[in-house]
Amino acid sequence: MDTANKLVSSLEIWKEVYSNRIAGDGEIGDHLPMEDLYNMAGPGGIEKADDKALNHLSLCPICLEEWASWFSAQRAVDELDRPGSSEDEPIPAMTYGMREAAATAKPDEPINIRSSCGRFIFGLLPQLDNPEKGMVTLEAVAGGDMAVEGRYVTVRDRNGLMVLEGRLRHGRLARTCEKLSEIDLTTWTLVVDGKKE
Amino acid sequence: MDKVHVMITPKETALVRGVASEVYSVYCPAGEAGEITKDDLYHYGIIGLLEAKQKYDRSKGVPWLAFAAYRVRGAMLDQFRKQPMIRLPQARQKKVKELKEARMDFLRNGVKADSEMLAGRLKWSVEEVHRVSSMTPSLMPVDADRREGEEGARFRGVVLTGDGDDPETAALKDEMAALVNRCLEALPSPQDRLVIVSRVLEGLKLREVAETLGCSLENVRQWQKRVEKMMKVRMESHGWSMD
Repeated sequence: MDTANKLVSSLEIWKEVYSNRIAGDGEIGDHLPMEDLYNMAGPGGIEKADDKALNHLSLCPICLEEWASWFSAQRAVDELDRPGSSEDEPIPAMTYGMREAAATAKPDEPINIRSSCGRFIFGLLPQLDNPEKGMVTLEAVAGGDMAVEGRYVTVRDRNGLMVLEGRLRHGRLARTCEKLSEIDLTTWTLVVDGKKE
Repeated sequence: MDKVHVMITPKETALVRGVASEVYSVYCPAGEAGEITKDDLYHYGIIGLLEAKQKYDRSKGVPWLAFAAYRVRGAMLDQFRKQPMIRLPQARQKKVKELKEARMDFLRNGVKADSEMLAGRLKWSVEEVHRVSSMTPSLMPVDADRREGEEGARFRGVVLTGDGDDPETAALKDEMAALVNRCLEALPSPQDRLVIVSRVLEGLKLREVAETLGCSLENVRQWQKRVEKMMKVRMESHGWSMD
């Protein structure tokens, strides 16, 4: 291992050990607030920061990682405004829905939830004789909305479990499900692939 | 989360997509053959975005999109942290392997298989495919960050985890960490420390470090070399060979 790699490995070990130690006992004082870390990641941020904050930042691997994350965040924002920065693939549509706590239905009752954008209705249709089994459905509600026809969609529940995927045909998609009770719809997400068939 | 539905704007969608692309390129070296897809990252990104909308406080002076990008990226990385690092029981490993092989088979024929196709091939239910997908272990270190493609970049292929270290390794790590800390503290200024940790440990770009320090790229390059040399001398004076 050359000097450069040894230095990287040594610093990684320092980060690992001191992150745990600092998180455990607050050895080097309070962590820096989010807004200070954001400002320190901006142009002239370190130049303008006070000595106490700089001293903490330079010896606290937890704040260092947060500080570095702000550079990534700013890079992502800058990328939005950069002409020609978009990838070859079109941007997918993303939306979500939430199951209201007050609207909790009995296990054998169908559930229909509209997405936040209003363009989709996600549904669970339990079988009457066995509510654990049933259909999972998605419907594009905007009549004649051909923009999503034939597009590949994925629906996931709060825990990231994929509950539905496939192409929308005639504005609809459905499948059977063996375990409806496993689906957590407190927040569900829907991604419509940007590419047409 | 309160139940007021807020729209996801096109700019926010583009932001989630951009962050997902960056995270995917760094943490999913297997690409489409890997277990985490861009769609997975979009989902975690949307959840992160919704949480950001709930927690955003304009009075802190952080612009909304920067805050959103920060939270979205954090939500995606949290999922990598939650990936099991432990060895799965043999029966489950077998299932994971079967799923991976089926997915690779499709990919070899140029088909990106969805869960139903995989379920059909394996004669499993779709639920089973989803369950097995979610138990796939990831061995990519979450902090192996932004290494490639940058000037002077070094990819760190080592998985460092505090879990499961034997006592001897743990003691060695403690000793090494204390030594590094002493050497860092002994550097002349906090700016010296920041130059080395931001570049070598956190992988910030030369331009980013130069901007925040208010100096030129060449200054930072020279500064970094100087501090690396100081660290090397200090570490070696404590008996750690750096060559």
